[in-house]
Amino acid sequence: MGAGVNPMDDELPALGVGLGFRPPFLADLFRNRRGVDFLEITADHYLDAPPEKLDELKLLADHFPIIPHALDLSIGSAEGMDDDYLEALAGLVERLNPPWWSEHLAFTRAGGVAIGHLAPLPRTREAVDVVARNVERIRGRIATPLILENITATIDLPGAELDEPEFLSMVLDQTGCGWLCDVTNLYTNAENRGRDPMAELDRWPWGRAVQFHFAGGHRQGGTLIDSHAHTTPPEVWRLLDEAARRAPVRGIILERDENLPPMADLLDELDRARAIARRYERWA
Amino acid sequence: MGLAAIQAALARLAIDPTWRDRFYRDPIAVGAEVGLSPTEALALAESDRRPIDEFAASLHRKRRAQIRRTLPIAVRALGDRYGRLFDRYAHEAPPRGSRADLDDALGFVAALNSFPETDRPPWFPDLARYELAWQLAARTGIWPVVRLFRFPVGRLIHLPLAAEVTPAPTLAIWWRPSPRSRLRHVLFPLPRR
Ligand SMILES: [Fe+2]
Repeated sequence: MGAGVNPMDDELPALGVGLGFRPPFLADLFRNRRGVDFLEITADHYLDAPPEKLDELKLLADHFPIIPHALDLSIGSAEGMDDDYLEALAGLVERLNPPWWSEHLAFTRAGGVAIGHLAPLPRTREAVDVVARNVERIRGRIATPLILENITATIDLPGAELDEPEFLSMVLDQTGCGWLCDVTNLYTNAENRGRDPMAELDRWPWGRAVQFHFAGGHRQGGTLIDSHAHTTPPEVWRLLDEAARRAPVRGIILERDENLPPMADLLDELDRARAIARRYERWA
Repeated sequence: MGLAAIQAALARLAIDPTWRDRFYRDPIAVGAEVGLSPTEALALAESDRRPIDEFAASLHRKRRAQIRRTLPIAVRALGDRYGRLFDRYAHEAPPRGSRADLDDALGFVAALNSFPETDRPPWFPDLARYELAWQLAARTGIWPVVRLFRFPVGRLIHLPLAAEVTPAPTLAIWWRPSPRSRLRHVLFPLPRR
């Protein structure tokens, strides 16, 4: 596993606390540069973008470290990944030259269908092998370390041989990838399945965590939805604290997509996350 | 579980409501179409269906919102008819991936022409095509985008749906003098034949 991510030995740089970039943030970001240490961009929005969009990216990259976050590589597809997409993504990662980049532990394409939505993998050894094979192919094209994000899922595909922490740990072991721990997703999945996320903390592979995501969702019927549309709830703050206590995290990103509040509110959330990382001396 | 088959099945369940109903009625035969063994098909059909329906519904909402973002002017003009027209379109047309927002909008605009004119004024498909052409042109490099319209598209923006517009053939051209320069646009009224 030559290109593996182990935040401890590879000494990935600490990026601090930042925001998932959305175009409406643009003006406020430059007015509040001190409060935002780095940005995460949705890679897909820049893959065949107009020149104006690429200018925007250049402007951002001139002022902030940027981590590309991809949506549609379909790392868990048994039928393999889309060559054109991988090629375009490789071009973007090359242009930005980030310390790492990320994708989801999921699939978005199967049987000739591009679902356009993150679908959960069955938690089987076969799925672990498929992810490992796809990651090998990615490494042939993108040398920058890849970290994988845990998604939310209410669908439990039949035939599961592993539970969530076992499945994730096995994938990270076999691929050598780091973990993008979405703390809200951990909380959401546990809550939706009637489990206590605090009770199973010691089962997750914290040593592999490189980056965190956090956000607030909402409840629809009895189900929690990770809509990134609300302020972070107390339960997620508590989990983020426990995660930061355990993981050698190098960067924390607040994801906010809908129902956008004033920038000052987002900066308050970033400050609070920064204080947590400082408490555990995650970076200077 | 064969991973390729279970993934293909979940993809079809998510995007194709007709296939979904057929599958739950006859899992073994319909599951075989995507390579599920009888045991796999039964296991999938017997697992909780609700989350799968929810997954499909949230995908449907996401596509509807994506087209609204791609064609804000046209969708605003449709008002509350948009939801119904989108449902009719999406029922026939599978999604095309997260990068293919333009393709989905293209599909929607093409489908508009086949919907009865009682649902929208005759000029409306031209407005949607015009807005879409702006988006396409923005993403192409130096290749010009050229479109012919039946209506004077420059005047259609912000018209109420009830407005009557006389057809007047119009040629629209978008181009960039160089790959990095701003997008240029002109409209030419054409003589009526
Ligand atoms: Fe996330």
